[in-house]
Amino acid sequence: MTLKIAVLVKQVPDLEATVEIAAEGQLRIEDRYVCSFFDEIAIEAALAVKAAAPDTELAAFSAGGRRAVDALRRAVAMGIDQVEQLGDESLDGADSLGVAEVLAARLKAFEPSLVLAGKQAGDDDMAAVGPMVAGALGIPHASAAIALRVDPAAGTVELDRAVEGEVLTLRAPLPALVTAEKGLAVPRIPVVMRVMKAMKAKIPNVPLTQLGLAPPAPGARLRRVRYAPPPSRPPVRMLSEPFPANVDELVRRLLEAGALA
Amino acid sequence: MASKEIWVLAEVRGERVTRGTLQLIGAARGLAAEGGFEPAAVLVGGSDGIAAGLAELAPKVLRLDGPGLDPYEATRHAAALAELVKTRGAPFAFLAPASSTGLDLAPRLAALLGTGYLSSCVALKLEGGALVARRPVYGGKAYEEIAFAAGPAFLTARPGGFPVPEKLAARGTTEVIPISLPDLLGFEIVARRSTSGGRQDVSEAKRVVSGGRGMGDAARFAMIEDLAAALDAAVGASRALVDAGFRPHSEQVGKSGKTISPELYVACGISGAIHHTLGMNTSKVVVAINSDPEALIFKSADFGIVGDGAQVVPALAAAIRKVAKKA
Amino acid sequence: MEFRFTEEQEFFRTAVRDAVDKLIRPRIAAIDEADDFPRELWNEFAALGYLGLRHPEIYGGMDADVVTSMIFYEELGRGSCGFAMSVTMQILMGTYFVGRFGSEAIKQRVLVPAIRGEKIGTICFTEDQSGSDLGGTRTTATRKDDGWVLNGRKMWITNGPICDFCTVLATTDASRGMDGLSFFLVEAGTPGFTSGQQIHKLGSHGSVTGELIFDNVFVPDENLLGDGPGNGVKLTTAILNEVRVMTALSACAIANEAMADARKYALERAAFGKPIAQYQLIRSKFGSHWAWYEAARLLAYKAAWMIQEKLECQYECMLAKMFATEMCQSAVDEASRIYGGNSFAMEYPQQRWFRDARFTLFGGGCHEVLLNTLGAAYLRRGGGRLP
Repeated sequence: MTLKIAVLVKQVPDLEATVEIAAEGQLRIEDRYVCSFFDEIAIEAALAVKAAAPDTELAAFSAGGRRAVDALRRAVAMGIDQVEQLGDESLDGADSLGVAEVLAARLKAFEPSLVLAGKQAGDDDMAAVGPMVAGALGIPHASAAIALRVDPAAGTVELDRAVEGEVLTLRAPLPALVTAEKGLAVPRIPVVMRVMKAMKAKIPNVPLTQLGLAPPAPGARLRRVRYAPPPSRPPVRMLSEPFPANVDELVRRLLEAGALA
Repeated sequence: MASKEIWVLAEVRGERVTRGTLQLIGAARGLAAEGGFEPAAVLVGGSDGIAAGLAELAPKVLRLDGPGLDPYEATRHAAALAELVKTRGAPFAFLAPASSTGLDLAPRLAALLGTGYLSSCVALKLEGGALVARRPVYGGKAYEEIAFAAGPAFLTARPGGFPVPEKLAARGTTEVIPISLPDLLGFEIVARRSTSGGRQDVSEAKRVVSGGRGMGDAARFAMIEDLAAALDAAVGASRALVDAGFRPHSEQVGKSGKTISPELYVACGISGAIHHTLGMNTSKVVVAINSDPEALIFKSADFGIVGDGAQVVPALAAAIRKVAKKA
Repeated sequence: MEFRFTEEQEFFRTAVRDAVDKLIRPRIAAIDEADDFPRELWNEFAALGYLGLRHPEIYGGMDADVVTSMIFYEELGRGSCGFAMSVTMQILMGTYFVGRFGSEAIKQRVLVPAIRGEKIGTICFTEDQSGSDLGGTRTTATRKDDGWVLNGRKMWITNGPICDFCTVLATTDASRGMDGLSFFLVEAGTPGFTSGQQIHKLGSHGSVTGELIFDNVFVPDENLLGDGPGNGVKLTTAILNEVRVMTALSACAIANEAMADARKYALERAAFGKPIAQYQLIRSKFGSHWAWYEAARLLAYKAAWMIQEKLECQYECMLAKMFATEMCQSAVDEASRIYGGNSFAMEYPQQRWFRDARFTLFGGGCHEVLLNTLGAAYLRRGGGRLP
């Protein structure tokens, strides 16, 4: 079969960007945004499938406003020519299911043989949109693939997935959805010609109305109550007795704290 | 009735229910006491024996029984649970462990049902009758508290912060619910290989001993493994050792590895850079052993020893064994 | 008046930054220690296509404009300074005259492989007795048959020891001083063209620098780059503006990285019970640096814009280079003071920024010469003005 692969991408703050809680309680995030780490792996995995089966059709999709366009430019820079922005800023506050419904609506018409997405996005770390899209489309899904093998002739996809204590090899008939884990592929550094192409690209938009959807009602299912800082710990108690007395003292303190029960 | 129930998805490994399942039953019982709900363990497939074990901790056990439910497969398990909701009604909340299986299954199920969903929750409480979940965002640099505003609350939770409950005074009741699914295409297991060699997985163990660059050779890391054995702990590793190919990725603790919440975390020869500490700073008790008194790890620890790991770690293992013998 | 890069430029910057972060930054310390040309990294980097930044697409280049290339040089400067020197030499000085004046045959033989990174090019100005003083050039080019014979020695040639071709400034008529200078292409393998002594440098490891010797080197007529002999200085001025702004932005990058490292250090290093970042004298170093760094960067990009708009800007380019490189010396000095004793330890990155920064002082002209030129120009015309 001729493969049609859809890659789902999202623009998120860089893993190194500073994130703070401002005085009024909202988040202050450093303005350093990149295509989500795991999504780049998914893009690379898709490019690898195409390299092995050159007549594969590749497309990348991102739901949302301006940042979705940035994520898609990265996809172009890495090598995907066909990209689409779905919806607009009204999706930026949507929950995972809201986003998944938009993507699924587009994919229903696109009819991919394989959907690839990152395992989770670097902002909300929800790891939800991939499996949700699969559920909405009624196709099999597997998450956190560390290896991927597509057989266009047999119309199947096989992957390796690390779970607690073992590595499973799973296989399903296409169409199916797979999310990418670190190790599945190493995202390429875009060559400058593709960077220039991506810089100049006009990214097409598919409005929500065209997908038959209304803008999501924020807070309908989930409502953010507050942000909180990461847990803090009282200052460390250094065991400064000379060795080996400090080791014995440590064991005594651990017993006391119930940490050895 | 279902809307007054809190369901806990039971996860089975081998023939035993995981510790995480027990901890989430503890979480459900806590919420139930506060809000007047009834906890129910939900077992998809499994066996009567496993159900009986769950009934010692949960007042209700719902066992979904039918062909094709073992082993776990996302499409079929999501369909089976959706069927349960259809026939029985939706619960107030559905808690699944934030394990590989839980994270794979729960969002698909939430999509089938159209419910709100949150993953990797670390704390749960009731506020004004609604379930509010706390979860890390931006890799753990901040936490958000989100209320389930309407409809059932579907979520996965990291078990580490919840207590393993005491056995119930009176055993719970078990209901076997026959589920017959249409032929559904899914991902079938065609091969599996063990990576743990029978050892505990770092993300589920009660105690973890981790080694970093300071313990990054065969002789030194053997000391880490020995201390882990003495503590009946899992072995973890820093990114440096995994990137060097010295330890497997399954042991990596930190931002691009696993985020864990054991009751005891011992960090040996680990500098404590933020990408590591974000992966373990919710551990209950943290011990740091490092030769550098300025090492960042001491800022994320409860107890610290400055010294040569090759000297301190074996001494600690011996001291632990001595108290274990006394006990 | 807009002080903003376009979205396209921001996207380009992010792409270059990503490449520098992934390919170059993990190897900075190793490159510095090896103190050799990092051939493997060179090949990997060349494969990305950036070496063709300023050259036409038909030769495999990108035809990027001046501001875009400056964004590239700034981001590149955040990595290994020595490697950056090798790359910028290849992109700009080493291939400029070949690209602008070479015959089609020369371009195919030299420029196309250079853009692919397969042939390494360099430019030869400096001699033992003349650096800033181009009029003192003693390398000669004497007419013979249908070509020229070159004699002389060039010093301080970036990647001279490994170059496959070079553009040499030589005098065809010593009596005409600056008006007697011309550029010639010399390729490796030409009889009489050899590499001499290598210079062991304080910093900028990652480029190899040394002497090139021309002993009766014959080159055909087509190797004279430029319309006719005697245009050397005029052509040099054309490229010097860009070289100076490039140096300014490299200096900005070094200063920024040195202070970024110092910031991390100050936030973690404790003295008398608290991080040193909480002490006023340490804080003031960062506050002061911020002001001078912003000013240097603005001046550099303004000069870049003026070049792009084809405005008369040789003085602005000198100002930019001088201001940024002086700011950089101060930044690495202050950053070192923040590290205290640890600035003296080779295991910390601070010492490398400190050493690498030094070269920016004389790349593109020594300040003692520039200040003289600028002062004279100021007195003549009353300083600069907004365009």
